[in-house]
Amino acid sequence: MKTQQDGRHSVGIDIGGTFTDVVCVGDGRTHIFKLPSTRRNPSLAVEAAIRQLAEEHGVASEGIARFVHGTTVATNAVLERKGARIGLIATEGFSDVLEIGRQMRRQMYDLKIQPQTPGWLAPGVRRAEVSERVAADGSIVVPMDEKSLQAAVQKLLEQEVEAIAVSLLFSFANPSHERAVADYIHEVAPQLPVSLSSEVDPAFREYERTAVTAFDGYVKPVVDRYLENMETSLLQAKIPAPLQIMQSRGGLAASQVARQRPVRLFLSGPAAGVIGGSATARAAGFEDAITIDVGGTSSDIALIKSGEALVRSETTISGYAVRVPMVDIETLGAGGGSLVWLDAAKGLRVGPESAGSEPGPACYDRGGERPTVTDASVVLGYLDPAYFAGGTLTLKSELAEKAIREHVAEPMGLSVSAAALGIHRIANAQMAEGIRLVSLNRGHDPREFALVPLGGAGSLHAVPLAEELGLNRVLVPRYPGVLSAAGLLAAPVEHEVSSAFNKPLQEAGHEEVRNFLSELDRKTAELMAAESLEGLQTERRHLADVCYLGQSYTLEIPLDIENTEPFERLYRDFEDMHHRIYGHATGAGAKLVNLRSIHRAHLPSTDLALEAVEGVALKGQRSVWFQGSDMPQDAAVYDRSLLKQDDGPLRGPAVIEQSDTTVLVPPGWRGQLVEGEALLLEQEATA
Amino acid sequence: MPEGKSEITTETALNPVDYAVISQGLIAAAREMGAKLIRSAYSTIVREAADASAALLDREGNVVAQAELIPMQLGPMADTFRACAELYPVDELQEGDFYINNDPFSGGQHLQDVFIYSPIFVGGEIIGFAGTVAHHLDLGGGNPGLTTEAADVHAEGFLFPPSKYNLYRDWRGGPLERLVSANIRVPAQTIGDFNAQFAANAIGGERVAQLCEKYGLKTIQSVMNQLMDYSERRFRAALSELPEGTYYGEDAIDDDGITEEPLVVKAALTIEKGEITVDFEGTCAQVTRNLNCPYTSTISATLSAIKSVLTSPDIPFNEGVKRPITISAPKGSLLNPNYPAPVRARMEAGYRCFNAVMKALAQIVPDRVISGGNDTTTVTAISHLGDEGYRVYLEVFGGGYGASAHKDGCDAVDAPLSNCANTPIEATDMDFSHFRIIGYGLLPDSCGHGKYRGGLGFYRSYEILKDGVNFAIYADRFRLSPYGLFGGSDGQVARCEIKRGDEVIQVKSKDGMDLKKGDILTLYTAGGAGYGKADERDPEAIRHDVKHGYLSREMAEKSYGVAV
Repeated sequence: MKTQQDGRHSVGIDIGGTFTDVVCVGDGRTHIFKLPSTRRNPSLAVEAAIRQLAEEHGVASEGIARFVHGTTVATNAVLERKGARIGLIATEGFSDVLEIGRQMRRQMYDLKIQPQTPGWLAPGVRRAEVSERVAADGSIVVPMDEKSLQAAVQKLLEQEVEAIAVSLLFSFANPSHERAVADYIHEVAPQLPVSLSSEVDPAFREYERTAVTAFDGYVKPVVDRYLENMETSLLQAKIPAPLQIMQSRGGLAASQVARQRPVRLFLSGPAAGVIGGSATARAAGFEDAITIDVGGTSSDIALIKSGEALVRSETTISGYAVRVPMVDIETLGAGGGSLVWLDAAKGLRVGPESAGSEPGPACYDRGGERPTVTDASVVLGYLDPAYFAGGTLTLKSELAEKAIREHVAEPMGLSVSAAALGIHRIANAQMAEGIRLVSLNRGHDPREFALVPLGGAGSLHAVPLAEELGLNRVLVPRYPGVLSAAGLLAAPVEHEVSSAFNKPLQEAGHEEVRNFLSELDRKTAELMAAESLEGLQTERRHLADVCYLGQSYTLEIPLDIENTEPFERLYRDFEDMHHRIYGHATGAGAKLVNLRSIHRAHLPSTDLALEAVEGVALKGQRSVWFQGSDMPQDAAVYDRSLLKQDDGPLRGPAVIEQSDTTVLVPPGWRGQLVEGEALLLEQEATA
Repeated sequence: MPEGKSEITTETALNPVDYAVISQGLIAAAREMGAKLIRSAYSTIVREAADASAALLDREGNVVAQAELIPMQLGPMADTFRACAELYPVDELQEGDFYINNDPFSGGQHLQDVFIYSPIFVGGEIIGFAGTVAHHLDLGGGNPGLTTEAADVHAEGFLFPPSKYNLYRDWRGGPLERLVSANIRVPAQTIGDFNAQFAANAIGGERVAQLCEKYGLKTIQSVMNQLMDYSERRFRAALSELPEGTYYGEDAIDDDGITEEPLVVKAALTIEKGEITVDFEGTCAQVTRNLNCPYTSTISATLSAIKSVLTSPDIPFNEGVKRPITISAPKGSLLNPNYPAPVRARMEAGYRCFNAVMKALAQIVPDRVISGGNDTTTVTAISHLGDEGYRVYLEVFGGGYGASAHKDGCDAVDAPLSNCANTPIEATDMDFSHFRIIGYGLLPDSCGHGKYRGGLGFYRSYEILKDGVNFAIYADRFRLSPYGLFGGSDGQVARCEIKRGDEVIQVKSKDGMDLKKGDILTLYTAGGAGYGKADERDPEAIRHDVKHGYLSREMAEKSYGVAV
């Protein structure tokens, strides 16, 4: 259907806990707005967004050619315990593996401990066993006993389960028994969703594989319903674009495919933010960046190396480790709303308890009396009380001051401004520790990276953080407050399939590995085939999880099987990385644990177009306290929307305000707009 | 800065914010050491079970910050260090030097836990030490797995007296590495784990050096001191709220593996003027078998009980916490044995220290203690000498946790002094061909009952696939059950048995034997005890337990008088 508009629109919608962010690009224009999230039925906010686009922004549904969504539905199903009633089928003798886990405690000195595993996903009565056993090499030790299979499925059906997770020992080496279980379930209960461990996570360690498979089953009906409803909504709104969903690894998948692999949708929003940060950095010419998203209760930190976000093989959901590959995001409990307190020895502490949005920081005047990091920002002159969140909220600076004086300054014998500077330093130190975790801890020197602040409060902390860590460049995106939604439009379509290989490198035959990889490629290509990628190039990569013989934690190393000496190259890269991360490399034999195929297609770029606004950027000046000085300084205040690329650099001390964030430019730093409309802050000495 | 008297008058006044920032950095450095040690280790006991720990120490060897991994290994990090420093003064150390010690009679615990300390040089000066300890799967000794009948410490493996070596000269192909390699059975793995310790120490040293570069040596030293003062201050504040007096507790190990005589541990805990004294006078004499608990292990176990009950989790554990605590045990007793007593299984006595102290504390702070749990280190070794050399499978088992005033005990977790993971079934299937695990599950009804029930124990069953397999075990709670508190009933005891054809052989808690192909070996671990009276239990919780198979109908009827 041809619409009146020539332009085709791309829409990114990210649903967060408080706000649903919308970015729409097309027609040479960019529309950005926020709606309150509708937690009970998140798709209501999406429908409202579509209406608002049409009614207020003149974007006709028929002209929407891309529709990309970042969702919390999988995460929330777990956090709120609203997933499906699932059953679990395990090898005879091992159905309690889900509950026993690794028998470890998370807190060493805590005597009163909760169950440490997600046994509640499928408690005792909803676990069943089948008589079968596969050996480590995939051979059959005990053939599948049909009677036990029938009895197991019968038992679960009697419990009225809504989905079944199946995790048999060594199913990754030989999935035939798991498939037999699935076939039988389909025969007797054709509608029942089934999650097989050999498909969800075909890798070694039965507890970890069982847990992720159980989570997959638990969220599957919820995700399935949600995405199906949204597909219907798009159809009803006459939006021709297929629905695309952001996955945990930072790549997009067609809704139809995402519904098959729901456990890969955990933390899809934060992943999109990192991809957005990566796109901003790349546009400004930086391939290596560290993103920090400072939210209300926590901060998310991630590292981008050579344009790729680091991925880790495991994530934590609701306190449980779940083996899902995802963008390596370190979350720590310090954000703008984090409460400031003195411990029993009068030590100054920040977080992890947060004032949240209700009552919020003291300066919100909603009944919060205890000071937060945001209150310190007000006292220090970083935030304009009259222009917070683009003027949507007026802050009461006297309440911020009172809270800090009573709870921190007086008990510690400090002035209010010294206490507020201290609060910022401690919050920054925690964030810096998080940055060290994703950089130094993974063998990267943070000084080689640009820092990209996201979220509303990131830009207040970015330069002090950079100074703490010795970074000399900070890159503030044009719209850090909606970067997750923007990231949705910058992400590639990506699918990944991996499987356990488990062989010493020395015994791995070239042909054997090549065949194994082509089988993985075939499966990955099947997933890609479900995407609408007409005419787009698909890029293929292979990776191997490698460890020394005898070790069990692996490192992920690129493998180019078409290389002349692929295994020699792989081994050298492995030794380098092992040395970089762990401080030693032994020259001993190595093992190929898992092999992985990744297919990716980059979509045509959708740059955020900006309308030129005329006016003078300098709004005035105000008194601001910076670290390292016991006197406030006069800082120039600028309006970001009026800054131009050909303006000269603006020098600190300065404050740059925009509707979704405030940027702090301390003395010794200068700012300049660069490619992609990002604001580059650099240390003068190194400039 | 506030005016007035500071508690640390000898120190240069330090900005409280600098202090907060740097102390966090030190704790983070210790954690990174621990994480890297485990992730790059080779032996299953370190890499899968995480039986290793790491700490940063000041120049005098006081623990400043630690990675919280294994409580038992961390208490005496300082004592183990000092034994080395007395012989080889810190002032004389060169770059690359390290201290090493596993001597149970000079600050070590059991031989398998080897402590290594590397000095941290900043501008030619030593500011402190990075220390790690790992449980080494193979350090020689009488048997490839465990030597339960060891007559003395020498039969238990290779002993490093407190000593000093140089990494570049003596390790990395040097004489010490060659000496160790030649005296153990699986050198590649053990040497690999030593290397992981050295690398983790280097990482800790690097982090501390970076902090010094940024803030200056003096500041870091000052923060180290204040970090300890801080923990001490907070702990003393907590102690000052407790009623003064002397409280008693006792518990016992089943037996020494030869006779059937219980080995009694007695504790007298005195709180007076904001200090705690624990005296183990009255504890039984040392024994001929490996259950003796070196003095440093006694200290460690006692500290763990005190810290878990009396301090809040946000007080960092360091030397400061130890200052208000005095611990003594009679020389020649089970808790302070004389050379050359065998000590391999020292954890059992360590747990009874923990229990005796816990029972004494129950009289002071009933709300904060827990009932008896499995509280045992159950170690089994199933080894085989085949064409491919020695294959040694070693596993450390948890069990049911004790219940508390507000919560059921956790099912099937490792006990409080330890925190070892199990070995995945699939890992054992891939690594070993002389046995196969055929069952692993919770044991219904194994808990004690009460307002809150104890945690369930579990079983693990092995089918032996080859002849000539050697099995060894040390464990406890086979006869004396975990104790209930305030009306809660005891947990079920542990046991171990072998099915050989129609015959069932009961294995003792400290035992060893040869196994045959076809044998089925099953270990059942103890359940945690209950807390409070059974008639106060929420009926809904009883119904839930019956529904999901944690509790049988019969047991619900018998223990709670509830028909479900």
